[in-house]
Amino acid sequence: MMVRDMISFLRHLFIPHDSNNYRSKLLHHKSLFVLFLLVVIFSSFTISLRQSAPQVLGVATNITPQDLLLTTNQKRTENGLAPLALSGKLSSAASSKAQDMFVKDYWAHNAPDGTTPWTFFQLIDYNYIYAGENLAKNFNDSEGVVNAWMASTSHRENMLSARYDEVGFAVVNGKLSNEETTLVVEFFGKEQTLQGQAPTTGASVPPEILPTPAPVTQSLVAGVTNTPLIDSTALTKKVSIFILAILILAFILDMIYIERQKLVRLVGHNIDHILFLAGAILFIIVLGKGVIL
Amino acid sequence: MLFHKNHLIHYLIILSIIALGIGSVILLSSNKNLQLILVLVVSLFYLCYGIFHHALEHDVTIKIVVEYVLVTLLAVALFIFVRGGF
Repeated sequence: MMVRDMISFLRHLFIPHDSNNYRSKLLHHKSLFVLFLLVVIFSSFTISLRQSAPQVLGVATNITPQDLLLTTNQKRTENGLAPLALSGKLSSAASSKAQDMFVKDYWAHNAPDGTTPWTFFQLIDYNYIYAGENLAKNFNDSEGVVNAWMASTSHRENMLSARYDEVGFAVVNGKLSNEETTLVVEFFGKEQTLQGQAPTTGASVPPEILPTPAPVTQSLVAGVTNTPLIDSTALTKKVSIFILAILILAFILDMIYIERQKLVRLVGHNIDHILFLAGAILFIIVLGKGVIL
Repeated sequence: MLFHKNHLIHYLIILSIIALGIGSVILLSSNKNLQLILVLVVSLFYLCYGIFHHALEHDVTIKIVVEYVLVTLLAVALFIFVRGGF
C-alpha cells in the first residue's frame, strides 16, 4: 500500500495526467514558487549558520606548506628533477607578498603601485640568480593547487624548472575585494653564491626604492586548515544540483508524455527551461573553483 | 518544417548565450561580483528570450510569463545559495 502510494505521488509530481491537469505537479506555478521560497529560506539559514557557527557549517580547507612542498617535489621527481628545499627566507618573502595583496587589495603579480614580486625577495636580502612566483586563491586542498599549476604552461615551467633549488610557501586567509579568500603564494629561487652574477627573473626589474615590509603574522610552517562538521561548499552545490536535476527530469518527462499524447497546452517551452536549467547546473559547477595566476 | 527550423534557431541562440555566459564565468573566476552580474544578465536575457519566443508564436500569456519568471528566479536563487549570499 505504501509503495503504491509512493508511486502514485511520484506520478503526480512528474507525469502529466488528469490528477495534475496534464502538467507535472512539480512544474505548476505554485510548486515552483514554493520551491523558490524554500531555497530562499534554506539559503538564509545556511548563511547565518556559516557566520554564527563556522565550526558546524563552513568552507572545508586543507592547504599546508608541507603538503604543497611534498606534492611539488613529487611532480619534480616524476619528471626527473631534483626536489626543492623549503626555504624559510622564501616562505617569509611569500608571506609578505600575501599580506601585501590583502593590505593593498589586489590579485596580481605586480601591485597597483608597481611593487613587483622581486621586491619581496630583496626585502629579506635574498640575492637571487633566478626567481619565480606562482599564485593561487580559493582552493580547498594542496593537491588542487599544485594540479592547477601543473595544468598551466607558465606555472608548470616554474614548477619543473631545473634553475631553482629552493621554494617558499605562504598560505594566508584574509579579505580580498571584501570576500573571504585563501591566498597561496609560492616563491621559487636560487640564491647567488658567486659575486657578479646577474639575477634573472624573466620578468620586471626590481624597483630602486623598496617599500616598507608588510608585517608578517603568518607562521612559516602554518597553513590554512579548516574542517567544519559540514562543508558548506559541497552541501550547497549538491543540494542545488539535485533540485535543478529533479526539475530537468520533470520537464523532460512532461515533454515526452505530452509529445506522445499529442496534447496541446498553453505553457512555456520545456526545451527552453531544460537548456537554461542545465546551464544553471554548469554555472554552479564552475562557481567557486580556485584560480591561479 | 519552417516552424521547427525557427525553433532550432531560437534554441541555438539560448544555447550560445548560456555557453558564452559559462565561459565568461570561468574567465571572471577571480571576481565573484562580476560573476554574479553576469549570471543576472544571462538570466534576464533568458526571461526576455522566453517571452519573445512566445510572442513570435502569438501565444504569450501572463501564465507563460510567470512560468519563465519562476524558473529564472529559482535558478538565480540557487546560484546565490551556492555563492553564499550577495
